[in-house]
Amino acid sequence: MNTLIRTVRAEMLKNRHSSIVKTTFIAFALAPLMGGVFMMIMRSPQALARSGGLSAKMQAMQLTVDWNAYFQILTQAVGVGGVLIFGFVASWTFGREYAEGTAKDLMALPTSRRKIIQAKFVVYALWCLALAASNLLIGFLIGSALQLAPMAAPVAQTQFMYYAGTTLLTILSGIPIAFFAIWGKGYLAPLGFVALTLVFSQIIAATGFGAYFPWAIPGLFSGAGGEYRDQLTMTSYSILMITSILGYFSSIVYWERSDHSK
Amino acid sequence: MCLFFTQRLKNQVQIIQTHSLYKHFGDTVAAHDISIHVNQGEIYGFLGLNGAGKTTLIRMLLGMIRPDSGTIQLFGQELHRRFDKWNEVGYLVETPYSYPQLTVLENLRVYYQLRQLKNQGLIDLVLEQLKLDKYRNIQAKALSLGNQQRLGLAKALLHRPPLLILDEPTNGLDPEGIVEVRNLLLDLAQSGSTILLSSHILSEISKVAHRIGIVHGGTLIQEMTAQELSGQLMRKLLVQTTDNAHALQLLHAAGYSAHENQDAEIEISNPDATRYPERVAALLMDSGAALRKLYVFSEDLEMYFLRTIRNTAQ
Repeated sequence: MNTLIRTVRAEMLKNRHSSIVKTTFIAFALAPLMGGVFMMIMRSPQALARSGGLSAKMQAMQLTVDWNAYFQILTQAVGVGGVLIFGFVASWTFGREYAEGTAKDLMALPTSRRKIIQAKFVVYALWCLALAASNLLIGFLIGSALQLAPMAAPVAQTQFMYYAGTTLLTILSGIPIAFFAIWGKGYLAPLGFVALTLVFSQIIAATGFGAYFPWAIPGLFSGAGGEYRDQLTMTSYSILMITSILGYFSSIVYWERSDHSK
Repeated sequence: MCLFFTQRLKNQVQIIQTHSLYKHFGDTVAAHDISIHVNQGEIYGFLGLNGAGKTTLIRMLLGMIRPDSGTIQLFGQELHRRFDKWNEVGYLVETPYSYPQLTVLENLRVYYQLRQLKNQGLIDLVLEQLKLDKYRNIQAKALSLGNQQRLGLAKALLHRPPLLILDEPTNGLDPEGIVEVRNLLLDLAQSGSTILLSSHILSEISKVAHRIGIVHGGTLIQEMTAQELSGQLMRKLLVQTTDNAHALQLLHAAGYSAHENQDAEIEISNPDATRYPERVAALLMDSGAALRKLYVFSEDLEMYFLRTIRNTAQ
């Protein structure tokens, strides 16, 4: 356990001064900001009239100006935007060693290769949780500043469960990206994979099979697909879980057993 | 020194042992039947052109690449996934890279954690040893090529390992840095460390290595001590006279093996001729062959290296 803690510490240290960390927080913070803008537009009839297409979209989403609607926006941002941002975090965490030429320095150490990959998964999860927590905090500040109409405690609790659940499912969906970073020895393969999952999520969800596509499941769970959330079953969650477990073990096995000539 | 060293080798344990290593990447032969051993306290120089297979061997020794067949032992323990003596090994493979955003100190702290070390003083020691102290708070991306190389060496030496495996350790260093690293390696070997280093610069290797292995096309084509190497360098006497044809007749008659080269010089390869060039001069002068020039040509290390490789290719 002590070895893993020290390895996690080393992994955390690697991210010090990193502009990527700040970039992900700034990019992810756009969601609560945009949500706040939606709320302001919805609240003002003149602004709503001027906003044209945006107004139509907001009305289609049946948004109301209250905490409940704002919380939904935050949750959907994690379920859809999170697949992209968390995927970016995974691509960076696992691909950087090849891009920076430091992978070879991790191969012959008293800390096993398995521990190093496990520490990277811990950092990936902590980073994503911090992103989700940060959006929650920013959302709370913006919502308070806008003086949104309050929601009942049970509703708040339900919304929070959806937010936490979506965060967890999105983190799980990012785990297989590690394999593509290690297999592709850099950022390109995992980022390409993230882009593909986003495209396929849209297409597959539109055909009604999103509940069986691992990277569409967080979005559906977040409510971004409206009533499609009801399609999610234990099979859906099992598919996502199995995909994550496969991603986790294939990353470890490939990192441990393949030739490292780069 | 030679006798002392030879005696010492006989009494010492083998720190690195490889037996019949083979590795192919597709059709490319990266290692073909490589068997070497390196004794404790020895500096073994691994020499070869770019792409000869040096780095592949080093990566195999570090468990980064698995050989198709053959075995590796470090400290008498077979190298496999559960090999547990990595804190006995320090290494530098090809261009040393560091985390560019981190300072020199932070980079070393990363490896301090990953090597599970428990003595913070080691970082200060290695910074001082490699003259990186004044750069400790500078980001790695701002370092010169030479200082990046020093940082790579610092990572290799941080935990004071008894075995160092270094791939081109003097790359990018200025002349002063090269001498410093050379002296450092000699000091480490003197104090019992074992060092395997690779280079494509024979002159650099020959200054530090006790034994040298030449690799070409993935095959170890020659292995010798530094003393044996200097004994194998080709020497010949070159002569130019006003009448080379007459001079050649005289030399052949006197039992010398001589021929005229493309530069209209007579090459005499007998050891006697290079040892006593004045005898050849007297022979020619006494017979009326006026000398234009006469000098002893000694093959340098690079020439020897290239000649050896060419002979192997033929």
